[in-house]
Amino acid sequence: MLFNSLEYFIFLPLVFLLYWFVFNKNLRLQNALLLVVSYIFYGWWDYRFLSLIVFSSIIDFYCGLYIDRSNASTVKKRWLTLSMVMNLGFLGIFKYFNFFAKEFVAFADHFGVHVNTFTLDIILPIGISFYTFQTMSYTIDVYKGKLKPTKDPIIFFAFVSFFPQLVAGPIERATNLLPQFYKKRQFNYDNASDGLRQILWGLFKKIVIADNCAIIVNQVFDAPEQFSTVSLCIGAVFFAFQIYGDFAGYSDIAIGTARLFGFNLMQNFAYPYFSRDIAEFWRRWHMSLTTWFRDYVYIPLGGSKGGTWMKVRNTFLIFIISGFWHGANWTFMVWGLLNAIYFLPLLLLNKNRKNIGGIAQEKKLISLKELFQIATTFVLTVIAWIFFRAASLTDACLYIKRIFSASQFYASEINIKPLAFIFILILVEWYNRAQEHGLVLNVTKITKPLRWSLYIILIIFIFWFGADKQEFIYFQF
Amino acid sequence: MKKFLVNSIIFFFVVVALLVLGLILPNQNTPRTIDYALIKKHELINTEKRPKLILTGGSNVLFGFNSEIISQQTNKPVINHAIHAGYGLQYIIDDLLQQNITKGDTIILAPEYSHFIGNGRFGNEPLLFSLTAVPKNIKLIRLRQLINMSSFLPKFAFGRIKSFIYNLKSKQQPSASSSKKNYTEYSINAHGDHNTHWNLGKTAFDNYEFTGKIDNGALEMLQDFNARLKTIGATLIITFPSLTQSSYQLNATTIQKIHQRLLKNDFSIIGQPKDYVFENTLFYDTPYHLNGKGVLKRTHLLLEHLKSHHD
Repeated sequence: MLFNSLEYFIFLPLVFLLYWFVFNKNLRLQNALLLVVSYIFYGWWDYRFLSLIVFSSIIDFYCGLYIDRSNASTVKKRWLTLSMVMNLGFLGIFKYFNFFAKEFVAFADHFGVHVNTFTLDIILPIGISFYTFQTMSYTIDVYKGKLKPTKDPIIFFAFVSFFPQLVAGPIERATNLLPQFYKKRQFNYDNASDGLRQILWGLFKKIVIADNCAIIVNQVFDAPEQFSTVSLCIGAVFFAFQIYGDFAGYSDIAIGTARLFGFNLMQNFAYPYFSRDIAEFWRRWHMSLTTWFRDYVYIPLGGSKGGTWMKVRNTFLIFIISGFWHGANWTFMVWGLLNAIYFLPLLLLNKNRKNIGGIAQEKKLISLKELFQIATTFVLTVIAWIFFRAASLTDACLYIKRIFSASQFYASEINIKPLAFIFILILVEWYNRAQEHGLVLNVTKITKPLRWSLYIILIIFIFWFGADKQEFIYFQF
Repeated sequence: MKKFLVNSIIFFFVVVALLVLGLILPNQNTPRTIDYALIKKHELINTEKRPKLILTGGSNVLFGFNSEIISQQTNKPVINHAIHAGYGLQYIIDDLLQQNITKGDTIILAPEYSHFIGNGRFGNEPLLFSLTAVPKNIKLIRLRQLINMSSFLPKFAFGRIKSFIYNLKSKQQPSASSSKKNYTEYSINAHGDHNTHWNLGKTAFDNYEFTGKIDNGALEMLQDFNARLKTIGATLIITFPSLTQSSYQLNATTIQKIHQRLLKNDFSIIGQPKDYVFENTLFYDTPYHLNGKGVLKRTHLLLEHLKSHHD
């Protein structure tokens, strides 16, 4: 079920009413309801893949219990290995098998060896990378003793499949989300109404920003040879906003929805395009994945505790793995590699934690220096996004080569209407850059009629300027 | 909680009121869209007393024929009833059956391939536009069509408010150029063919790829339609939509499956899908809208197929 579909707008109020009015007396029943509706939400797309989530949940539930029960560290390790093999095995089969099979054939062909291999005719189950990482964090935390395993299968299964964040995150940590299933949820008016505002802002970002940018981006990236330098630059910038609107929009809807049910999910985006350097960008972009890699890969590898070589090696590893997490294509790996290269000077000069405070704090305007830093970081990320969006490395190189053909500086032949929407987005998010999301309103200062007018204007914007419904990009990851 | 629910319900009704406003606002577009051409097409069908030949289907038919030539060659009045594939096969058939179909009439139907896939036969957004043009057709709408349309309703209603405000601001007046515009109620000739584009060159367009499972319900719908026409004494002939080479290649397997299923049923079928696959230069703005040259080619091909069918 898509967040931007009519089905969801029927589903959500129905679940809300059942949750707070029918099942509110009993916490266990409330959790059971969340489990059932989460499976309905996922099964709406393809019920057959529910079996994968159920299987994965069963294995991790028991792995968690057995890790906790075992005294011997070798036994604990065995259960952890089982969980890792199973989770990464699913990812490997569904997401990476065909890529490796094809690359192996190409590699052998290169040396004149003809290998017959086969590829699997399978589709990628939506959200597999997200829920797999979530359950892996559970077993790892139990193994490390950071978390007591749950003995309640309903709670665990609901934690794995919690519908607001099941298919595209935020990738929740068991230490944050699991305890919330144990506590009796109290309805909080301010939290719920702010959740609705966050949903509205997420829909604006998805439908008005991302879907409108997608039209131009598809045109330009499908046939870059037909477009001028100006159009190609605009196309790349639009992709930067498309992926932000799409993914941050999804996260806003997910977090807002969870708040309606009394859950607090972690912030996933903190206005990343206002970052002053690439290190800050990565602290603000897809935070749930970045911190996952930091905690479960970077730190166990030694993090930045070792010498310079170890820091550099670990940083490159993290970025390349992060690229590969997005999909089985060299383009994602080059995207990760580019970001690692951007990051390297900051790391070597020990300036990667220079910009950890807010941007232009307690000031309305920004200094010229900060503006230059933000613009430079943005340009760097846009160049990397070209690799992320292109169908192949050849296409990405062709795109960049076309940008630098000097004779191509004629007026743009593409529709630049989304620029106006992007301007609104930047303005609103700049104003609220210190807040959790772009539409946080001070309800004591802004009167109700004014607030409602603002909501209506946003709804009108969504319907007037919203492009045709498109799937969320991150579903494919 | 009570405060939250009350506020949510009030806000919901404010939005619904806006939607309703959008649906009831008068259409002040000048000229109005091609959907309004259906009114003239109904008139053409209902005023013709002689046995007639009616061409119907989606926009592949609207943009696909020169009915004047067909009329001259067959010595029959010819009316092009088609407007848009997005109306769905169900609505196209139901709308036609409401008209003056009498003994001796021949209906040539070129259903779109999309009508056989998923729930394409029930139509989608364009159906809302047609109901705005011909409100009395609301009585034809069934539950499945309503479900299909409902997700487009908010965007449609807000779109109408937008065009109403735009028209108030710009105060458009009909001009001489109105009759030359494409996709308006004036873009059709005396037979109902879209003809304002006949002298225009090809524009850029992407390939057309349809995905989804073939729906046997569309075949059942055609069987019912055939049976209804037989009871009236009219004849149903099925033909295939025009398509560019590249789009045909993309969908060849699905098209062949649809063709096979049609052949298994007791329909009068003329031609084969491949016969109506033409080179890209014969198309206008989509992989299924023919330009002037393409229209001539398809019209003569249809006449040949009709001749060999009668022989």
